[in-house]
Amino acid sequence: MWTRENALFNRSAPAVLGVLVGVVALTAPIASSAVTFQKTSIIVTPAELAKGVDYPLIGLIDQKAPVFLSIRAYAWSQTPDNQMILTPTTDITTFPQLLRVDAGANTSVRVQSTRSLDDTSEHYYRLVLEEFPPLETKAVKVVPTVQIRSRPRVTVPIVVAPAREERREPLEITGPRSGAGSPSGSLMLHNTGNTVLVVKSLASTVSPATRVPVGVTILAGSTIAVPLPKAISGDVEIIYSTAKNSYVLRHAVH
Amino acid sequence: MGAPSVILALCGSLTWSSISVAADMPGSTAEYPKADLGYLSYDAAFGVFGGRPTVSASLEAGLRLGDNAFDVQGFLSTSYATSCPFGCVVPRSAETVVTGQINTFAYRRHFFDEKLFLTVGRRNAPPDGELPGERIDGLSLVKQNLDANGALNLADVRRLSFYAPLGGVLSYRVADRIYYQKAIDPGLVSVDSSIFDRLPAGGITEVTFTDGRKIVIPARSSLQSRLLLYAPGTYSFDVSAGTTPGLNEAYAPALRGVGRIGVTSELTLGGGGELTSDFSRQSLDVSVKLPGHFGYAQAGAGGTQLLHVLPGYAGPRSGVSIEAEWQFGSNQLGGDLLVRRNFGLGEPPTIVRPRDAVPACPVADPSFGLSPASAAPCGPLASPGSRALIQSDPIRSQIRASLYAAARGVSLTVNAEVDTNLLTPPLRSVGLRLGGRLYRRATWAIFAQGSKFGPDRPRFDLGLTFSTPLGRSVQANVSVENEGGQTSGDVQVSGARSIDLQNDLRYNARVATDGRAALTVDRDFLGVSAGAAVIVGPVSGVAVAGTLRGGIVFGDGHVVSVRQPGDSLLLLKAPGLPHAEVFDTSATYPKTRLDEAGYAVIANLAPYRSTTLRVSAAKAPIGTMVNGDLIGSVQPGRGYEITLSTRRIHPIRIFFRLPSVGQGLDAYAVIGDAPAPVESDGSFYVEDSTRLTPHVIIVWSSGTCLLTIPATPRADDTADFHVDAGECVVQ
Repeated sequence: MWTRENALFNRSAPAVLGVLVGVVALTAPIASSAVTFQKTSIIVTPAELAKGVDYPLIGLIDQKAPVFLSIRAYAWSQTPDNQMILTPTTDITTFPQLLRVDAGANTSVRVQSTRSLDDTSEHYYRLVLEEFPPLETKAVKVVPTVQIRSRPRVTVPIVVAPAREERREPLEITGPRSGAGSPSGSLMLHNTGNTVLVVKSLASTVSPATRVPVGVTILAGSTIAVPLPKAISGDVEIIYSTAKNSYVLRHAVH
Repeated sequence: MGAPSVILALCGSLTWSSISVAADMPGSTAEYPKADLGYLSYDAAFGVFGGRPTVSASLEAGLRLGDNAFDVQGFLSTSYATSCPFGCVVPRSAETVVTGQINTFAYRRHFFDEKLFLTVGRRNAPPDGELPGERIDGLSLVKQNLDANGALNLADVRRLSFYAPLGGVLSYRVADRIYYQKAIDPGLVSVDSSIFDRLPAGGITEVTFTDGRKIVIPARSSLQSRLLLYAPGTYSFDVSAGTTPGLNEAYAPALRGVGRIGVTSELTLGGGGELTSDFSRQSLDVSVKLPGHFGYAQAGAGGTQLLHVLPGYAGPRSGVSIEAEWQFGSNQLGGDLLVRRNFGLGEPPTIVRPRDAVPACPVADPSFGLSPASAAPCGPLASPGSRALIQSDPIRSQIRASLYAAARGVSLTVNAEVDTNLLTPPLRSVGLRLGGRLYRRATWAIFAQGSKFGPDRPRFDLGLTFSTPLGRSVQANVSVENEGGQTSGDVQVSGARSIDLQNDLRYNARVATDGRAALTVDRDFLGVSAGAAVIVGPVSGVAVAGTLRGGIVFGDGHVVSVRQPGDSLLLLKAPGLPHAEVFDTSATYPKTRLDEAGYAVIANLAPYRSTTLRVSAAKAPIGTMVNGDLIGSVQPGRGYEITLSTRRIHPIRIFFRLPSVGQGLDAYAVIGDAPAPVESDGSFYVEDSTRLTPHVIIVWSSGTCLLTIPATPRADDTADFHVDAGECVVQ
């Protein structure tokens, strides 16, 4: 996936903006990082982000050599397949965007919005932190010997929170999933609210003991297909929560 | 479900790394640049109680002139009654007593080496072993114990046992610096406390699970406040000669000396003595760290001989005291056993003379959230005109045992105590406390205690406390007690609101079943802390009280407010960064904030220890860089000044096309001595555009190319300025 992203980026610079840059898997890391991240997310108000916030980074103490870390912000959205889409954005900037991290050193990156973001709905971005191995000075002067290595990459969510949650029970079912090649028995769930929600679990109303954890995040305004587990039969209860409330949505499955 | 669970779901892609263990401790660091500073701090409490005003105020001032330190501290108090509407007796005396005292009036400086202090004047010698602290006018020579890293090496008990629902990483950090990391597997985790022995104290032990959730493991407090374990071969001593308050209303000549030495890392010996014209005292103690969960032990012995007694005193003239304490166990199961025994006049006597009588609290009860002037102690009012006496009721023997167990969020503590005193009947008591959590955030506790005081009938106390949060920052607490057959209860609502750094608001409302009620508000703002309380009671009537605390530091022609000046003072100047937050390595949160002019005072830094201060430029325009080395150390009794200059740099990103032979390989742009990696989008970033030359070499594993950077004017305020440099030409 990242290769595809490279290809897109390697067009001329102005063409980069606004282009879908790729999809970053939420799962296992590519390689071990030499940097420790104190905060696993950045949750701020538009006013705080306008002033700028510090994102701290710590070099691991057993790190043998300093590493370079590229830190850039992207807009974050979702596909119905629950894939993360990162798009270049000019809403948010980071400084510096390239950081040398020494062993055990404390440092930080500044994240700041470049335009005023409204506080009626949540805005989603991600910091993409990509680690580059150090370039040995000798290699530059004599014979370049840089090896191809996998680059540890981490994405950190930035949630620009609205002033308040506007709507109660923001989850709507827009129907069973359709389309060629798609798994059957899925529900299309739409977040009509202005804050992120998490579908915690699905339960069968026939047998309350049947409860299957889900753990799907749906950003405000997004629609996600959630597969119905085989264990769930009959009517289904969707247990989900926002930052402040928890809800149960009942749905008859036909 | 609350916010944390949503946040957890967002945090998908953290990268975990290998296990690493701190290899070394921070070494000795050069001192910060010294400067001449002065300080003044105030701490006042006032109130109207029973229709009569009371005031208690303490004032402290000092100068830091190079290696010379001069301090003066005293208090003045007018008190009307033994106040404290809750927990204290109703006023019985209409007498107003004015009390004043100078506690410190001393000149200090280092002599011979950087860790040896000579003090001339009045100081309070701290308690040590079996010797109580004492005020001495005269000369003192103090050497502080320091290990190889310039820090006191104190025992700190951190045994960790907890249940981990997921795998993750356990880490120990002091501020931002991580000193220990260990991967943990799901299930019961038990970590040997000895891993913390070499690490600096004062940090946080936390676990970050693979789902991004982070929890802090509380370290159990224990003997650490009394147990001093020194590094092997390190030592300290404190020798004083002068006069001290004596029995007969006059100052008595006194000689006092205490010392302590680390024999091994598990064994420290301490001892000392004091000789005045009234009595002599000796003390010897040993502190031991036992292996594993056997914990820590401390034993001490002291001797006292009265050389001069007041007429009418018929008590014993000499005696010996012995004391031993053992604390053991883990976070889930453990105990504490204390045994004391005095033979004759075993316990060092406490001398109270009329003119040193401790003033009553003006309107003080810490449970209200209002505390009295900190330097003006309050307590029972001594009767004016009485003769000085040995006032305390010396303990003949004491056995105190407690056992605790904790599992699944429920904790049980059982206490038993037997006290025998010289003057009062023996006290025997047994109690238990059972507590836990309810629905995650609420807590409950039940305690029961049975006690018997001399020939009195046994007394039984029973209590129930329930506490629950009401919203994010408000807490409600309900408690019901039955003490010896009398039932009482109260309801409290308290809250705190942190408006920003240095700007806090706290409040507490309390109503008791006997008709007493109190409302307290506390506010911290820019180094000034103010509190107010209204207390209403059926007997005491309406009382109002207030407190005011704060301090200022003079230096560099400026006056800077500071909440509490410390022994060492550091004035930080960054004129280009007004309101910027200042961090140091001993705090997780910002230490302080620069004022409008870019000044701040950092007080109470740990002496001799390497400190890293960081001024955040987060509120300054992008590209603002802070120049200056903020790593250094402080020594007691000195003033320091650091000036930070700022400069503005303009970043630039260069897009270009890499030749096909270099694509897919790690490529770098050679910018001076700091190569910039070519990122996935075919660009590289230069933090300071002035370092960019018209021609840049791009290097990869099998070749190089030359890039010509076009001259492009830029707008200074453009946050993400970039240019397209076109094709890179293979060399």
